[in-house]
Parts: sequence; C-alpha cells; structure tokens
Amino acid sequence: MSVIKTNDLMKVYTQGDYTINALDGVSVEIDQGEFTAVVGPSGSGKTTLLNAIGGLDEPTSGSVLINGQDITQLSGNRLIDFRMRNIGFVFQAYNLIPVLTAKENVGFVMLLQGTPAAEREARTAELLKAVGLGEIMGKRPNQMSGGQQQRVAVARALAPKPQFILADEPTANLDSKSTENLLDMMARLNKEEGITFIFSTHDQRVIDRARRVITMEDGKIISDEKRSE
Amino acid sequence: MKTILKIAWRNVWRNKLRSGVVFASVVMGIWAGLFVVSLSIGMMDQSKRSTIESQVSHLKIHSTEFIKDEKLMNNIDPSTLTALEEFLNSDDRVKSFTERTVIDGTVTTAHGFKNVKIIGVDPEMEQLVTTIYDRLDTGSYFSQVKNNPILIGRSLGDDLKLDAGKSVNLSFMTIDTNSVSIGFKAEGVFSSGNGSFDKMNVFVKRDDLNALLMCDNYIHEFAVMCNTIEDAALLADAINAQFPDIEARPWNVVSPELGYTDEMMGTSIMIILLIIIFALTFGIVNTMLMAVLERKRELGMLLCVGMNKRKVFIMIMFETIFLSLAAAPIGLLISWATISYFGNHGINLMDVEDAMYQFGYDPMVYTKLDASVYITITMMIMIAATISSIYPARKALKYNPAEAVRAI
Repeated sequence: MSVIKTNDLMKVYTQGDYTINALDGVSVEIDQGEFTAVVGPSGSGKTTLLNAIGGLDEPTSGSVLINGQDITQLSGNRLIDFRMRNIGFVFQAYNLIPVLTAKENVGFVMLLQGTPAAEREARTAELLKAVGLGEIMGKRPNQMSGGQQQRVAVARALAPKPQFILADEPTANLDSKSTENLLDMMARLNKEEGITFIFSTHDQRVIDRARRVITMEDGKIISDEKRSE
Repeated sequence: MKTILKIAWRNVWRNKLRSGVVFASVVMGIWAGLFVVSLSIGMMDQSKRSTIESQVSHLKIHSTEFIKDEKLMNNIDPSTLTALEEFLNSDDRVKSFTERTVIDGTVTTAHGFKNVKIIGVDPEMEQLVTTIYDRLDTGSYFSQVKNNPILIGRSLGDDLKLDAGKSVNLSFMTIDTNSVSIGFKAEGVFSSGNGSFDKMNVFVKRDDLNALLMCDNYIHEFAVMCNTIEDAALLADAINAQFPDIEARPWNVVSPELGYTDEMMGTSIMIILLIIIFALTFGIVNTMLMAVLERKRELGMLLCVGMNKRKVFIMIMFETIFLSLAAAPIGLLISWATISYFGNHGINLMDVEDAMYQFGYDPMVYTKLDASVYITITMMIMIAATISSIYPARKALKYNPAEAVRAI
C-alpha cells in the first residue's frame, strides 16, 4: 500500500507578469519502506514536491494523500499536528535547536506530542545509540561536527515514529566520510526497521544508494526508476 | 511548557553581548529613573520641610481683617487672644506655638533700602516653632545685642551690603500713623533656604517692636506646629469653628505652592518613569526583532516539526519577558542601595549652592523614595516587557515554515 500518493499536483508561483509552474501535474505514489531520491537540476521542483508532501506548502491544485488522508484539506493547527505525528524532517542545515543538547533535541518533538518522560528518555537514548551518538547525548550542536549534527537531526526525525522521513539535501553540507556514515545509517534503518526515506538531492552518492530515483525537470517527473537491491 | 520556558531562558543568553547590552540598559534605566525621582523627591521634601519649619509652620492664625488687609490695627482681639492661647495650650495636637507682631516697613543702609515685612517675635517661643535660630550664617540669635537687635536674611544682607554687627534703620508707621525711623543693629544673618523669603523678612524682638509702635502687645499672627503635619487641617477646622473673628489656615493654604508640590511630584514621577520605560521598550523590541530575524531558520524548523503557533508565540513572549525582567531585580537593588546611601549621607551640591538657595533648596540633598515607587516601576516593567514581546512574537508567527527553514 502506498504511504504517499499525489494526484495531479500543481504549484504555480506568480512574479509580476510571469507565472512559474514549480509543480506541473505531478502524480506519484511512494510505498512503505522505500528509499527514494528525488533528483533534478535547481528549479526542477524537487524541494517544492517535498514541501507539498510534507504539508509545508499548499499546492495550487491537486491532492496529497498520506495513508489515504488528503492533507491539502487540513489547515492551521490540525496540519501542524498531523505533521508532528506522521512526518519526520531532515534539513540541509541540520536546524537543531542550538540551546538544547543532542538528547533534548531528539526528545523535543516527543515532548510536543506529550510523550511521558520515561518513554521519551528511553526512546531518545535508543535513537541516539542507533545513529551512533550514544556517547555525546549531553553535547550541544556547537560542540558537534556537521555529520554528528545531521545524525541527531535524523534521530529527531525518527523520534515520533513517523510514517516517513523527508530529507531535503541532507548531505549538502557534509564531507565524504560523514556522508557515507549518514547514508549507511539511514540505509540500515530503512532495511532493518522499514523506515521510508524520501530525499531531494544533487548528491551522486545519495542517488547511487537510492532504490528508487525520481527525476524532475520543469516541475514534471521525467523519469521514475526503481532499482533492485 | 517547562521545555518552552527552558528554551526561552537559554535563548536569552545565546547572544551574550547583545543580551548584556539590553541587560545593562535596563539596569541603568531603572537606576537612573529611580535615582532622579528620589533626588527630586528629596529636594522637594526638604524644601517643603524647610519652608514649613522656617517660614510657614503647620498653621497660621490671623484675624479675618488682617488676612484681607495687613494693617497694624488689624490685630487679634485681646479677648480672643487669651481664649486662643488657652485652646492651643490644651489641645493635644499642638506641639508648640508662638505669637508675632507683623508690620510692613523699610530697611535702609548707606547702600540702599528695601521694603520688608518686620516680624516681632518672642525669641524663646519662636525657637519652639521655627528654625531661624539654627539657620544663622553669621552673628547670634537675640543674645548679644541689648538694644534693638534685628535678624536679617542673607540675600537682603547681600543687597544692602549688610552683615552682623552693622547698623540699619527700620522705618514704619506707628499706631498713631506717625512714620518713625529707628536704628537697629544686625545681630545675625540667617539663611532660611529660600532667597525670596530672606530678602523680604526681618525678625526683631516683639517687645521692642510693640514699644516702638506705641501699642500694648499687638499680636497679628500665631504660628503653630502640630505633632504631625496631618493634624494641621483638622486643628484649623476646630479653631475656625470656635473662633469666628479669626481664621486658622493650614500650611497648604498659607503657601499653596507647597500643597501643589506633592501633586506635582506624583505626576512628575509617573512621567519620568513612563519616559524611561518607553525608551527601554523600544530597545527590547529592537533586540527581540533582531533575534527573531536571525533565528528565522530555527523558527521555521520548529513550525515544521510540529510546534504550533501558540507555543512559538509563548516562547518568544517569554524570551522577551525574561530578557526584560532578568535585569529588573539588579536595577532595583542598585537603586535601593544608592538611594539609601545618599538618603543617609546626602549629596553635596555646594557647586550650585547659590542657584539652589535662590530656588529655595538646601545644597545638601538627601535622596528619598517610597517603597510604593519600587513596586510601581516593577509593575510597569512587567507590563512593558509583556507589551514589548507582542510585536516580535507576532513577527515570528508570520514566517512560512517552508521558506524559513531554508533561510540563509
């Protein structure tokens, strides 16, 4: 069954006399457990697609179904609440809360969800160990490397047990070694725990590891390649 | 909520320099505001006390005719005089009183002349009511000069180049409307703290004056000190009810400007505090707007991962309030310490003594501030902090999470 399904998704931006079709009739389905890369040149619409799937940006027309629920019909706090419970986000610039420790950053979304303290503590520790950062739980972002910060960001995204994780250029700010480590970790989580990952990326190393590559250009999907293991 | 408060508190200290500047400006603002207010209150209070003690007293009693026309013959009727003395001696609210003969006259020296009010006093009784005896710059208080001693004010002495030990002529009308000019010897030069009063009033012995006026114990004025200043109005009412041919007037009626001082001070304090709070509010809003702008990406992330707008709003509000209120206790403490210190030791403004004297102030100023002002400013800061937080918090809510999260 597909976790994500978009139907004829359109996103039109108007700048003065010009209109730009950032998404031009995008229909795509992503199943549970996929490890998908959305690729394409700058301005092709990959980030817009991820924003629409993540409920961060409202499409001009079309629908986005997450487990059968059309999130384009949600608004305000209902949409925020849906995002919190169903979607994990990993950002290019990590975007951790600088004044919180790694442990507090990972537990933050669970705290917003109202998860009991004991459960939150246990899951935070488990996730930080899973991403290989069990030893630096008490450090703040400015005491960590870029790779470590992005691992904490992945752990934070996984914390509320989302349906899938959207990762926007997650390796753009990382060196080769950190990129490899991060991809190994995400691939393992995908394989062992069945977590669905959707990346937008320019990074060939990510594209090489993906089992499905959706290529976009001018707001349209121009190819959709599924690869065997 | 606990975590939001924790984040808000830690965010305050993310940019230590900027928060430190706001912190210091809040401390300085509170201190400067309260100190200026305490200095003003100290000066006004001292001026009021000094005016009451040296000039006005708590209560003055005259015949109703004298109030209309300060003529020699408009003295208090002798029968009323005796009853009034008995009344004042028996009333518990009365601390002390003195009787005076008051006429208009002219002081003349080789350097010029000045029209003055000549106040005939009983030196011993006068000491119980006014502090002129204790405010002598030079000379003595009716103890050294045997014949026709006179006390003159410092500013009058300056104008007429007159000092203790020198002779002057006093001219006035006697009871039979003859004009007389009699030689007096300046025994002392007083400084009441009010240059105008000192220029327009001289003190002589009442017995000397009555003898020269050729009248038998003419009393025009009773000056009364009460046990507390609050007794003055009630005592005046009681006297007026009992003695229809005289009028007792409390200090704030005799000298309305003193009464206005209290009201003016209250208004001035509020204006000064409001200006300071207003300025601080702008500083705080500016700082928080910068903080919200700098943290656009982070705020976008919070909105992305599920922090609703109400929580973001509360977080920014608390950051602003923490930033404002963290400094307030220190500002208040420093204010209290300095105001208490200068309240005990005083601030010596001798460099501007002449100007202070002309305006009726002593050069030694003791700061003074009621506890209510500390409470008022604390509440004003809390209100200002809350108001200051609204605009930056609303600004944060306007971010589109998808754009904000990619902001550079």
